[in-house]
Amino acid sequence: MSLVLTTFISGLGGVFIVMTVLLIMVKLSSKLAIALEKKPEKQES
Amino acid sequence: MEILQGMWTSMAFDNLYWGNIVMWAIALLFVYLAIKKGFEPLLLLPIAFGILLVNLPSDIMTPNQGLLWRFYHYGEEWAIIPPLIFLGIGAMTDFGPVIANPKTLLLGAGAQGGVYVTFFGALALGFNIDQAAVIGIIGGADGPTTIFLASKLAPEMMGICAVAAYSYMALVPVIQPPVMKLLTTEAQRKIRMKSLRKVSKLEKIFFPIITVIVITLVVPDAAALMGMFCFGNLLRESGVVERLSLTAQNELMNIVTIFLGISVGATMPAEVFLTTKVIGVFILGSVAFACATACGIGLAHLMNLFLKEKINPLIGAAGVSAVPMAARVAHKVGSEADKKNYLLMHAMGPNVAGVIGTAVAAGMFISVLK
Repeated sequence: MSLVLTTFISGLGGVFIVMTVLLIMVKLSSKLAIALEKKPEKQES
Repeated sequence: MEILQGMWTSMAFDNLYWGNIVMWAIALLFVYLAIKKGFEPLLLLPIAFGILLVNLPSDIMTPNQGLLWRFYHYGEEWAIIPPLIFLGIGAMTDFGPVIANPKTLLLGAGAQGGVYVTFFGALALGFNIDQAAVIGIIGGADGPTTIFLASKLAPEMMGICAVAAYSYMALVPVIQPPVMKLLTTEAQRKIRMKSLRKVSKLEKIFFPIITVIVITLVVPDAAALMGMFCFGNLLRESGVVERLSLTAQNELMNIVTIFLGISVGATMPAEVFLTTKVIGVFILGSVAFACATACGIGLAHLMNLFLKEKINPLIGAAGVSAVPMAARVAHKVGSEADKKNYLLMHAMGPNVAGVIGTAVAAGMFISVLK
């Protein structure tokens, strides 16, 4: 495959892979953060 | 008479040529645009003065000797200043809208389509592949990333591409609305989105840590930019180092902006700037912006095919990373269709995601081409 096509496919593909992985990780980390913040609240009540 | 002749030869008039005078006019035009029209004055003014200085006959850009050469060499060629700018941008950025609605990360990726459309356009116009990559990244609407990529791949294009990137960032309110209106119906522009949920402090602390890990693992060449960006954001969100956060946002940012602007301007002597290639760069820059806007909106339309809660496609246009201008434009065009439609916070999500997307695109170019 030519360098131009490699640059295009790996570039655009890379951006979408990063953003998709980031999307999943952000959702998971949000759940973790919310769970961690609820824990002390439960202990207090 | 001999004394007068001696005085004349010690002066610099003999070293002037018409190209220098044209560049003075361009520098003065930039000064005018910065002061009178308010076009990105923080950068355009130092860039204009750098252009003026380098087009006066002096040794100011002589390698290993000139003052501006040292600024340029250690600041930009060594790629130190753009990551420091990213540190400041990170410290200024609130990722709350992205965390509240992570789907907008994809819109930040979608707008990068414009980068690759322009990449092909630049190749078609006869630029080599490294230069085409740097011209393409103008579509990301991110000055520091453009400079960073140019320093790695095509230093000879740095000045021209930086000026094009910053000029078009200032022209976002002019370039984007016609494209936005062309690609959306009035009914689509009226789509109202549900208010964003409140994001906790812990979520905001997690975000830069997770982002830097993910991006550096997938695109190691984006580590310098994204590392500084996420570090700056962590300083902000941690809440325990306010002094460092404020320094990154203000004093440090202002200092590096001065060095960046004046040394980028100094890369534009007449013999480099007054070529037909420059016209090509400026035309491709506007194409890049329009295509990035169109790609962002296109992806928003595509996402709406699968989403239960529709998103307003205008926020896709904010995926170009001119923060916060692109988000403001999306909000303005939306409120023209429906006065009570508040899109600003929704558009901030793709807007800050666009900063990440452009840095990742630059990292991908470096990893393939270097």
